[in-house]
Amino acid sequence: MIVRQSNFRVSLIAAMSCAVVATALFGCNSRVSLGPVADAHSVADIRTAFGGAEQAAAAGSGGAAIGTGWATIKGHFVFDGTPPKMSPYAVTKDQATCAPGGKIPLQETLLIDGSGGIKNIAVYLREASRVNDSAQPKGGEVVFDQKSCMFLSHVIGATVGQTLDIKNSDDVGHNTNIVGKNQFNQIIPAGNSVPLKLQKEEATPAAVTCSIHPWMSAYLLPRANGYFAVTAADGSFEIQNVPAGEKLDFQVWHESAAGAGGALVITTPEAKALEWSNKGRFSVTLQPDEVKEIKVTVPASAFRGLRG
Amino acid sequence: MKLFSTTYCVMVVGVAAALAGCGRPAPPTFRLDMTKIVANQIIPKHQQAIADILGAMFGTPDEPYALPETGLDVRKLKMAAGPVWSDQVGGKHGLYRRQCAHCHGINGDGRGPTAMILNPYPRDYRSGVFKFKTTYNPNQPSDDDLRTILHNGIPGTAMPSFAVYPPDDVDALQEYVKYLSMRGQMENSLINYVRDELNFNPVTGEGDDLDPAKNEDQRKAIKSMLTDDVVAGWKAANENVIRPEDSKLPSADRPAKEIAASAEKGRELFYGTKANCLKCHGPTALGDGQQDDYDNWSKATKKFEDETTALSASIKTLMESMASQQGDELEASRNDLKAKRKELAEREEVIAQLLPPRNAIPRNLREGVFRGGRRPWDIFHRVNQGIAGTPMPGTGPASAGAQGTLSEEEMWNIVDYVRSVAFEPASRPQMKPIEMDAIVK
Amino acid sequence: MNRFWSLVFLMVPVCGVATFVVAPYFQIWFPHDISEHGRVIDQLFMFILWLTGIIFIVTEGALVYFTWKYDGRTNPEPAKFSHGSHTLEVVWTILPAVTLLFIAIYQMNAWADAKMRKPNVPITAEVTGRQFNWDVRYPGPDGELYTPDDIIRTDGQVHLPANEEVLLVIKAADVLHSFFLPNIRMKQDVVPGMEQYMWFKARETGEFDIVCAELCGWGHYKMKGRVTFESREDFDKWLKQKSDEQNAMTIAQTKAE
Repeated sequence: MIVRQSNFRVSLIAAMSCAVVATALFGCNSRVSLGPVADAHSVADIRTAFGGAEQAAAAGSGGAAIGTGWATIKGHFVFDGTPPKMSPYAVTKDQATCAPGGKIPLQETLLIDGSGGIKNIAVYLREASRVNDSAQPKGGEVVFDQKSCMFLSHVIGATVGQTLDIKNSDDVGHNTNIVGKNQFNQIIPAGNSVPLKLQKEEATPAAVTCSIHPWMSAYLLPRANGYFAVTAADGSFEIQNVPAGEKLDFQVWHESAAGAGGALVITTPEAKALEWSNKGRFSVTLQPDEVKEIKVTVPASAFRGLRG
Repeated sequence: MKLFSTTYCVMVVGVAAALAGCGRPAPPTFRLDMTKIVANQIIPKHQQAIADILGAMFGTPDEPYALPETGLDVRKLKMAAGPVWSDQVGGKHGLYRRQCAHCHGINGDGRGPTAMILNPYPRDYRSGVFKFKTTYNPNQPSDDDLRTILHNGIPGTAMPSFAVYPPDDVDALQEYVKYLSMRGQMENSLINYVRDELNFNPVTGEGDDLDPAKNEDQRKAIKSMLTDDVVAGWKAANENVIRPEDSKLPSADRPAKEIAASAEKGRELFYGTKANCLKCHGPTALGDGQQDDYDNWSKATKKFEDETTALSASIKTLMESMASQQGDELEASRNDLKAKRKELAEREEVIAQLLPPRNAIPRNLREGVFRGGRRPWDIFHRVNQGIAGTPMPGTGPASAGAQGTLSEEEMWNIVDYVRSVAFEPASRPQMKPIEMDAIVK
Repeated sequence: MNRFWSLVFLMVPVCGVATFVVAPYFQIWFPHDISEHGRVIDQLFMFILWLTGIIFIVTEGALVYFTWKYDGRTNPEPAKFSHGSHTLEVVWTILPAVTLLFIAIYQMNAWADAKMRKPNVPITAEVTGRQFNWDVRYPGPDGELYTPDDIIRTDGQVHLPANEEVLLVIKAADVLHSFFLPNIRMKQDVVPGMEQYMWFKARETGEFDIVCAELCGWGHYKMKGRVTFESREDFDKWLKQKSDEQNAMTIAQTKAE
């Protein structure tokens, strides 16, 4: 009888170790990359909150101070490092039009001029508590042209309600394919134009491509007000009549920036002074009628794939 | 006897363990779109919050839920959701998992177990973009559009017809597709909200709280995202259906000669620089023109992969530059390297689950197989609005009242030509030899 | 316990026969036959079933009898083995060979009718299997496939005329499929790139199942369809209606409820 007992114990140990090994091999493994699963308790709380009637206006909401007067912010983005060489576009068709004289145009993913100015950085005010008359969304047209199978404005900003006059100055047909909230994909015949009225604001510039010539690339930034700018070839920008006396939060975007979603993240001391965040935003508070000028040196490491 | 008892015990326990595993298989759960989560470096705390909010708004695959704002019929959703079983009178339950999930996935992400072997890949509903519809390009499909797809299937793809199933079942599936789509769109909005509005640090994993149960501002913001970004589009869909102008409509019983004349005009447009069809569909309409573009879904995957490649390149350059660094600078680079390596590992894990991007190949019109349907009506809508989410552009107005590239009459001409091209000899010269040269080049 | 194994073996013929006896009562017997030709197939099936059934019962009976009779515990006498009986070997080679030869010859006509003697009638429709749906193409008024007036249906609902010879072309677009009409007793495997024909005459009108009998692959079970046999008049009317629908310039839109 005693012998039987010990036998049973041995077999139990063997069985348990077998089960453990089997479990380790087959069961209970969860992969991090699948992401989390909703938690029942939180779900119940949130659902109750969504279902419930909105409580009376909570005290202390909208606490941010609103100032008076208007100011101007100017700036200048300078590249610090060895400017990358732009490779030519992969022109695979319509050579006569797209590579005039056999010269294939160069890409525009990161344009640095002789003085180090960075072109095509979009700077825009994230939220405006009030909007000056000069920055109110206007009607009218913004010309968005394409020639030699390139978009003539590589990064273009416009206000909601404005009409983007999508032109085709080539002798071949294009189709302009805009993704995002103002989704658009239409044929633009040779030497013709099609207007597109912008309906919705975007938080980051939307990609614009041409499916017929897939190397063509541009970005469109539709904003609810005129507080946006795209840097010129020398890296300079200016936004006039922004609200003074309150904290302004500017988003800085570049198509080749290393930050998530194209956010230009800068960690230099001068950027720290502007409270530059890891989302590519800086903050300033301007005095009425002040013209603030900022100079931002952008290290090469702020761009994807460049040496720091 | 001793040996017998040991073997016996091991066998019993082993079989029991194998059968039971870690208890009963857990019911399937909705998961997040990790491509977007990782691309935006959303921290685990916010990931959990997003999953919770989505759970509160949409429930689980077994217990679907819909806020009244969505206009979804929860009764239909429950019919389509849940595990597969049949009741005593033969009623079928768990329709989505029975019919759809193995291709379209539990999340409606188009990544079910059989998705990989299909070409084209099953649709990922989560962006709310559907290809074959009668509404304007940016708009969601109407109820009729979804019903048509479920009824006819999509010829030339693995999407079968569900016409033999009871209409109530098909209705329930249609509602469930809308539900999964709304859930996906809401998820996207939430990720954008976290990215744009909340402060967080991907390196330390710390960040603002996201809890709409406690924070009323967040609750309001999220509710308005649901109504404005997600539901509004679906509610407006039925109003955004394009109705061709009656005066331009060719009559159904036109004599063959009239159709031929119209097709001839369409032919000129097809090969001309106004409609530009030949650029993609090719000089013989075999679909052999522009073949190296991607649809939106593949484009997103490709972008993620390209960014990952760039990230691994930047890790390499960072390591090279670290060789000449010292002190604080080196310390900063080390931290940077650590963060980048972590992101790279996450990205590579996500890429392993993605379907490899595939080029969007223009339709070979000579096959006479039209995925969105071959009626003049169907082809008219493709010519008019293009195919949402793909490189195929439209030639009609982008929204009600906007300016189109072609007149409706011209679009009908193209429709007539497209319907006849399968019966046209491929040797018929498309254009003057000089122009042909330009194309071939 | 002595003759336990012989009783176990007895269960094989008993259960086997019982299955066939009760099957019709549980609706797992033949589906209703509506074709002219199906009777022959069913008769062949029944003939072979009876033939093999009787042999099965006899051999099983012998097996049970011998295991019962010569149970080791009640028969102390050891077994004797014989070897090399020429007569026996000839008998058990010739008997099955003759039986199989007989079946092979007996069914030849049925096979030829079903698969070889293609009737000289115009093609009624072309059925194409694709992963995972049956698409149907009718030749339209001109009677020729692949002309502009073809009528194409992808909703898995095939209409065909009853009481007349129907000739179908069966194709596969991608992988192997097997077009199966259980009520017609017809099944045809299709290979991509090959054209197979199927012909039959339905004696009844009504709606019946179409299935894909291809075993391998994950989605063939989903290729459910319905075939509707109707009078020539109704069939022509239906074709006209679908042709009009296909060429209609406007589609009636139902408003969401």
